[in-house]
Amino acid sequence: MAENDGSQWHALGTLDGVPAGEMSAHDVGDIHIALYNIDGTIFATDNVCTHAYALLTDGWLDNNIIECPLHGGQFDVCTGKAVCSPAESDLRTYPVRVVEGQIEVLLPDAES
Amino acid sequence: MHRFVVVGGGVAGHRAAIELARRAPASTIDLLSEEPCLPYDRPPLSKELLHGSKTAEQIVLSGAANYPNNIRFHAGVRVTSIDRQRQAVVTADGIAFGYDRLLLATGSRPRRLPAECAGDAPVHYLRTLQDAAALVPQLKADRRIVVIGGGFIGLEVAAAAARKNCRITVLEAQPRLLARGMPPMVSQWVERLHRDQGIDIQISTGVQAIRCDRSEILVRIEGGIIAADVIIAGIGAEPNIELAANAKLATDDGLVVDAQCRTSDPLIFGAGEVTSHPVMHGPSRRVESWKSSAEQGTIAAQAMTGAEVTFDEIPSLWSDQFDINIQSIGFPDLGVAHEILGDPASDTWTLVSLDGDGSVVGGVAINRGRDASALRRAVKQRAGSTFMQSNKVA
Repeated sequence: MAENDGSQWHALGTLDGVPAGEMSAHDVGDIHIALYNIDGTIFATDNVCTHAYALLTDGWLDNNIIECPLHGGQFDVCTGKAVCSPAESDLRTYPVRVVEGQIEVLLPDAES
Repeated sequence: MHRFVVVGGGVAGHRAAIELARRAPASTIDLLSEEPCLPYDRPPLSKELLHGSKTAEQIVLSGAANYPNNIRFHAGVRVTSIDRQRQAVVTADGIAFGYDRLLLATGSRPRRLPAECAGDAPVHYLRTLQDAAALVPQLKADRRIVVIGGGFIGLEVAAAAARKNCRITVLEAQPRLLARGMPPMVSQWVERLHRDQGIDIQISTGVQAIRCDRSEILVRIEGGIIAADVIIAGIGAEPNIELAANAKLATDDGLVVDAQCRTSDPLIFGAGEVTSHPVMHGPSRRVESWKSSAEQGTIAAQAMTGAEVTFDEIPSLWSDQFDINIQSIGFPDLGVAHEILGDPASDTWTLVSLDGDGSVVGGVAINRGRDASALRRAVKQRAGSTFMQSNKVA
């Protein structure tokens, strides 16, 4: 279903598929998305570190902080904020909703 | 207290200035850099900048292009003395910057080959953006490159030159690569990595003399003469302690600071690669790690503005060579025993270094970033090796 600005909700899997304290990786077209279950709430960010090309889901999730596997930069997955060097630019985050056990993420229109 | 002076525009000085500005918005911070440009990120100089995937503009440190109003950044300014009585630093142009608190973050300079060895031969060193800019046009296909020094810088330059299809020889005087800081198993693995990529690695090979001969450069080693088009030397770093030493601050292979980044003068602090500071294992030492320098700059600024802080960052460094990511955490060279995770015949494995009590003192993770994260925690917590075994690792 499309929103007014063309962005779309994409179903990326079930809530059961991402237990608390864990994360999962998903590709939607060219976008790499990481889902995290922080105490029962799902958050979504870009899965590519802003410092160098690495998938955050190959890294280490400690509470709500994800540590990149390549050089140890850290982000708060709830806000996308870079909290530890060498990460300096914040991660893009996406709105999440859970509909009947399905995790849906709002991604921008492909053209935007 | 409202006047802060930071000498050094590397990552430590830059981070300190930003933290000082944040914590003391009513103060003025004079950030003095010897280099003629905005503070930038050094690690890409031996990687992305050399193989052209990043430009100088892209490596300016975050925040440097738009400092807050209370940071006055001065480029191309060399501080030549500290007048501790007057509480001022004086520049080569004779300008004095008064301070209530001073931070010395003067970093390191590349160690040079002895003059009797290098003579007039053009040898490239790699520390600054200008060095990298001078080197890039030299790395063309089929050019014969001799890299003197098998440390991280030399090996990264070799890897970048290989991407440009240069013909590369690495000369290392020690019996193995990465002799300073890496366990032998890692040295051997990295040597194999480079040989497999067609790089000629010659260990236990010191350079006796370098001479220019018409259009090429001749490098004399014990086994003969190597003809080259370009020479790059990466033979270590020396801390820029002269400013501090001349001002009679305590120095010992680095500017001596305590865990709060204080020097022997209560108004003067130190941060970054220039400092010799307390570490978790072993005596105080200099640490050549970007992450340590960045964090120490921030901690020093906090201490300078009255916070009760301790700089106790576990040293860590990364090196990206070809498609391999090497992360060294803690003190891998201080272990008396090692454990291996994964298969060291593959390109994904980890060496865990243990002290006599079986505690993890450090390790090296090769293409195993999750282990690097685990190592950081293991070292900090003085965990045993079962901590590493039991963690979910790639």
